[in-house]
Amino acid sequence: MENTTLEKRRKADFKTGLLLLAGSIWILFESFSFPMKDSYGGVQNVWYVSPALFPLGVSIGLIFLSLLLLRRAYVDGGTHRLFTFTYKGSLSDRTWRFISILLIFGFSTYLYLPHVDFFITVMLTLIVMTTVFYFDHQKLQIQYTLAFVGSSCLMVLLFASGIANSLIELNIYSIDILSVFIYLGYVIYCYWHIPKDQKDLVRKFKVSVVVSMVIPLFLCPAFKFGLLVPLPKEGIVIELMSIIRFSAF
Amino acid sequence: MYFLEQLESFGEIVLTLALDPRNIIILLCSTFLGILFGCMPGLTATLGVALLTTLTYGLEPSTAMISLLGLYVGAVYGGSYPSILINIPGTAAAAATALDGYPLALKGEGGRALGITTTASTIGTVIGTIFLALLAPLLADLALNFTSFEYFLLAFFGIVISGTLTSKDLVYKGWIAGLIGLFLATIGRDRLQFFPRFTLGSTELEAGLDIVPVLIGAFGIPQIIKVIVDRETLGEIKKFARILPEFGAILRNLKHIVRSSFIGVGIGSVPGIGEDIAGWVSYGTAKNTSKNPENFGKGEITGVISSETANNACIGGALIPLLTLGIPGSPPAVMLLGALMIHGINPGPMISFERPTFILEMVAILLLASISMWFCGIFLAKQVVKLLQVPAPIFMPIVAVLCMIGAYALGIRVFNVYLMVPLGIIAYFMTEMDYPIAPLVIGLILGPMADENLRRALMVSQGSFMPIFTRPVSLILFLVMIYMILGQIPFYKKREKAFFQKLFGRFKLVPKNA
Repeated sequence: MENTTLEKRRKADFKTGLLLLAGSIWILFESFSFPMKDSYGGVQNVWYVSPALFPLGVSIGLIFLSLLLLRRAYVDGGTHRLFTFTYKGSLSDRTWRFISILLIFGFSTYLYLPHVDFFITVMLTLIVMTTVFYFDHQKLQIQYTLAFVGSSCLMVLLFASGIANSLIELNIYSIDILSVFIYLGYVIYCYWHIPKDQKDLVRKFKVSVVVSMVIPLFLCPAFKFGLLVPLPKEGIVIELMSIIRFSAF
Repeated sequence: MYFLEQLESFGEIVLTLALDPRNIIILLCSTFLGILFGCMPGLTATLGVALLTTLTYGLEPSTAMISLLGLYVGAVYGGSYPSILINIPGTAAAAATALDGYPLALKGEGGRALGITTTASTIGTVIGTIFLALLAPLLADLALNFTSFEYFLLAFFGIVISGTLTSKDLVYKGWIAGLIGLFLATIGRDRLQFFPRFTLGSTELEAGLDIVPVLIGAFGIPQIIKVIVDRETLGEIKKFARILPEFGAILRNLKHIVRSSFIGVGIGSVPGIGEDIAGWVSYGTAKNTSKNPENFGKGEITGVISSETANNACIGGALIPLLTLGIPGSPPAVMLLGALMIHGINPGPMISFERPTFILEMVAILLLASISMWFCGIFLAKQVVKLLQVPAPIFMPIVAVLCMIGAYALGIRVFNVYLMVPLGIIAYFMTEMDYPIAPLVIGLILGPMADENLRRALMVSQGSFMPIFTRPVSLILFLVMIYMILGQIPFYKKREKAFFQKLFGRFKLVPKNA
């Protein structure tokens, strides 16, 4: 058992060792392109003043250590059946959860954060993360993740095709409104797919919805009006909050 | 006379801080928040300090330090709650506490164990504070004689020792992590010639990588992924009665407290190691020197006291190199360094000239934080434990959102969030493959210092490395690093073992456990 664990770890080490070696060779070659002895910015270089000195030292160190890692991995059996792939029929629950969290992080950060009102982004991120992981139900987890990914891909298509820009020209808050519809659609989809005999899941669903609405209600005003931090994207909801804040107080 | 003047200044600073109600409220709230961060498995003191840095950047530096140190102290102590009540350490620093804390809870003495850890942690923090007050000025004076070679070697020393001592698997994984951190530090325009390095043509990367988003990514994202993917759930929390200070037990274990404090301060002052190692070393020492080592692991009070005193004393120890050399002694101290730099404070030997009362202020804040921690621990423990029952899949998404806004808020750059996510995913894979993260962040923080000082030193010596061997501090640092590196080579290890066996044999020195 221990040998299998060690072998698995060393297999991973061998692959990362190769990646590290490739990366450090790239750093080395890049460093050679930095000024070593020519004049730059009015400064005459010698090797010990060159901006290449430190990266060269780091890359040589990394190359040496990656070779040591590769050697260790080889000695401990890390190259044994290195490129064999055993298909187990389906992905494990752990793998699905990892893929889900990567997808949620990815779409939230790269799609919604820069383009959608921050309040709505937080609501969407929270509802998806809590329903996918809090329910602790593998089938629902996969369904909900795919629903979120599907609707996000639709958004990506809108931006890629330029339709989003046309919508924004029509109405500046159109993408925010669309995101609210995605949120509502997702909530309905979640509720629709909960097995009706599972009262515990219904309770968890209600908690998830409450959390997704309450947290941004505290977070956004705290940063916007308390810490005076302009939020990444201030759309329909944040503007509304600003109107209420500055007309009421 | 000088000592009396310093004592008078210290007294004035403590009174000024303590008599401002705003400071007390901030201190109590941040300590309570720290205890929460410490007691929730998956959250760490470093992540707590990182997120709070975002919230406090608009405050005065001393107010920001009150909140950050309050959180740091609370978080290190807070890790003992789940260790004792559910046998799951809240932070790595409290891992050793679980060995004897949980058996005590099983016997119905959970409240007693919490009372002991509260008082022991307070004493440990206070002793660490005393060492900070005594040693920091001395080290700052010594550091005034350091030149660029010493600073360059100190940076490398921090990476080598951090990589050596924090690696769970192969030691060179720690060094690889350190070198990756150094590489990340070179991204951007170099400080001496302003030449763009590894920017890939991106104007966003020309300013280099912001420390806070990278630290949030390195510490926060892997924890979030791990808790969610591994479905970490808390077990049933053992009920406990009132928490009492247990001064009697503390007095009976005074020698363990003193020894554990020394261990904590010593380990804390070594760059990049941190509270978890201090806890284990102190626990191990207490067990090895005990008359009844067989009682350890079955609810031995000494085990709980040793671990908790050491991990809290480590805080003061970690601040010694941080304030005097600008080299953080633990991962949360790395975050504190980032916070200090954001507030325009550059720790190092010049701190005594630029801000003469800064070290005394930090000592005073740490002292007040330890008292605040004691009050929160004795009177608010049950409220903290209630919050422990919030399910992780509810808490972690909220932390994920806080990480996103935290990474964005300090530089008001969405690019920081774009950077945080892939770095966090890489850090997750690194931790899964037993690469320690502490050397990576030490490398990132100390990289600019190492780079600049190396080139400056070589400019002065006209390209010669001889000053490393002619300057005493440089030579010692160099030899220690070589010893640590050679110590990992099997050929050298065998020769060293044979040498010491021969030496002990000649003087008939027999190890205690032989």
